Amino acid sequence: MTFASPLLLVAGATLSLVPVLLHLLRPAPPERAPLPTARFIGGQAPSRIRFARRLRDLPLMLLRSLFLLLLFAAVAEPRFEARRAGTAEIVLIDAEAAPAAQRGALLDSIRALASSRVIPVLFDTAAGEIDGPGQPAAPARASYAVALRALRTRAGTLASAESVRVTLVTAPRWGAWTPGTTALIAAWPSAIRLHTVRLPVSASSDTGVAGAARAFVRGDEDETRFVAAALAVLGYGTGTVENADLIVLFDTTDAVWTTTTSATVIAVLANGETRRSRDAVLLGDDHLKASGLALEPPAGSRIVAAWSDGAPAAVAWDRDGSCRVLTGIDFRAGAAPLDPGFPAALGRLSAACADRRDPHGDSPLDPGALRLLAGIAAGDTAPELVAAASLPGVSRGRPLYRPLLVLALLVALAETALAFRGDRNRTTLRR
Amino acid sequence: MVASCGSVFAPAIRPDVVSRPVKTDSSLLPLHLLDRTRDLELIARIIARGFVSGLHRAPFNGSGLDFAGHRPYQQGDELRRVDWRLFGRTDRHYIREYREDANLRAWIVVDATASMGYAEESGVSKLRYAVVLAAVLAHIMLGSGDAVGLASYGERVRLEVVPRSRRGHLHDLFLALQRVRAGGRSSASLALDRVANSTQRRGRVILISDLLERDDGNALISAASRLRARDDEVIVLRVLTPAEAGLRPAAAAEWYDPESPYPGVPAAIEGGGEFPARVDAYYRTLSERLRSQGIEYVGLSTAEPVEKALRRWIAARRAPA
Repeated sequence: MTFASPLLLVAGATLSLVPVLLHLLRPAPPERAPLPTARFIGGQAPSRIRFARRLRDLPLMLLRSLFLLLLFAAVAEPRFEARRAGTAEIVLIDAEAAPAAQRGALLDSIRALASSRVIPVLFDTAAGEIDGPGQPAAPARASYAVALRALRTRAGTLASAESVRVTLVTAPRWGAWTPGTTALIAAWPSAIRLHTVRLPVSASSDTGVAGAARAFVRGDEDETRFVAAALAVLGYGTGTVENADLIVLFDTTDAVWTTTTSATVIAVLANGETRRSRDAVLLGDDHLKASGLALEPPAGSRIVAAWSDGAPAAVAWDRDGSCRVLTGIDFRAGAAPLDPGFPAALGRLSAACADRRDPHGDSPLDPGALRLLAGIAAGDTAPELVAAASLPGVSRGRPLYRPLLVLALLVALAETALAFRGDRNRTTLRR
Repeated sequence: MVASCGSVFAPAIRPDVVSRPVKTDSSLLPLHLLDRTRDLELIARIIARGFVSGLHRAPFNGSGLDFAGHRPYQQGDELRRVDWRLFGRTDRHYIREYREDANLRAWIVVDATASMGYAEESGVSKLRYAVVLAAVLAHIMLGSGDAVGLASYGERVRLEVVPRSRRGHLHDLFLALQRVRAGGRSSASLALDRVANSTQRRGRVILISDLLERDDGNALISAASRLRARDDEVIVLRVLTPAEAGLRPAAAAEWYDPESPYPGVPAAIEGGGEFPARVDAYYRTLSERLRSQGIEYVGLSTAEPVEKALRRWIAARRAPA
């Protein structure tokens, strides 16, 4: 058993002696007291009489001491904990972060990196600990809800660990985000931080544009000035609707959004078109401070940017040889236009469809995920790479303060009843 | 004197008429309520109701002055007692019944000497206990049609209320009982003599006292014997606290008698064993002498609820000698 505040327990043990002292400190017998039958006492030697110890006071004293002890013991937050050692690392690896054809290589890589301290858990529709060859690869798409179940299952076997840290390695995907993420965050609101290891955007897309690309921005002055400035930083010249390589619209009902077939078109959703506001966006490994709305992506689209909780921030799809990018990032106001990474973010969105043509590559797992796993196995995990902190519900044992409080309450009630009985018997009537 | 059949004070109670007392919610009124509840009438009513619950009430219907009610005519009833007016209205014969005049004149003598004001740490004062006891007895006796009077003695003997049985007299008794305060020293014999001189009719005298007499009770026994000589019923209810009897430990460097504070008695109570024995011997001797004179002696403790003590007393009375 451990105590969160052992000093309080010591204080309670000390205070529980107070009733004992109070019961011992009885008033001295009076020097002179009336007794109508005093005449029958005669003949005995004078002596000072001590008060007889009344037995009915003894349970009262014990109850009072017990109450104080239980109360302070409850406040000290005792917990039953089994023998624990170290911090267990659970790495939840989204199997769909790698192509299905390379699952075998993925498993081999993970096995090579795993150590006794790191427990990799591969999950898609079914979760399983990777602990031997021949791990079956489930074909269905991944779900964080399944990851959550896997985590809980695995964490239940880690009761002997002092703490558990969870790393969730995945790429955001629509359909995998919403239910799983919500459940994970609800289960351990402060213990899990998602780490997105890969987004389908290329590192080169935010470095600028080649050649004399032109951009066209349609909107109010307040809406267009930040975007135009960012595009200028990226090297875009000013073009028209007809000759622009990149078109940015602030109105999805604009006819250009549906008619253009030769350029990349970025449309910014207006407020009220989507569900709820967010306050940060992830583009690849970079973060952009921004506010905006989560998207309800159209069929056939793919996520190219995600909000910090995993909800899509921008989606892209090909259409008739052109690229459509729909984003909920507010380019017009807030922190986003003032963020130093704003031009690069805009550049990544403009290259969203180019990334589409870039498959997952040769790595069986995203290089970021492998680096993360290797770092955890080596014990030199950087705080920003470890997604989760301790899991209170798993690692801290079973709390005992509630039973103790209930017990203290019962003791207090018993003390009150006993004291009330004593008071009835002791009422002194002097008339 | 008309025998008060059905009264709880009747020496013999017919088992077919009187049922056993039923324990009610009001039974065993906690002792601490005797002090906290100022309404003596309420206390007396509660205790008396619980005490006489189940007893057959004998209203002593007869030919007195107070109208008690009607009952159907039965064969053998005197025709002159038929209510002819009611017959005219209902065409049925009813007998008019009247509450009989006082059956008995009873005096309740309460010891109000300084020693009766004693209360130990965990109990009621003897005087308070005696007052409540007197109130309950008065309530019961007045309910039985007896005339009840009240006398007390402390600084001096006082005939507080002369015996009456009229309505409202109970209230006067309660008021007088509430006014009784402990103080002074006197002898019960003086009060008994005063009561004896106040009436020529024989009756009942109930003395409620701790019986701590200076002369070991000689004068008391003489006075009570004189009452018995003229066929009065004398009942002595001795009230004592457990500490006085040596049954509960108490402590002090010096003890003193409240009725004669100086000099004190520098002695111990507990541990000796002689003190309780002496107290017990004193009261045992006194009770034997009283009983030898035909005087009923009842020892009561303030640690015992009034109702319970009364029940115990009445049960002892019912038991065959």
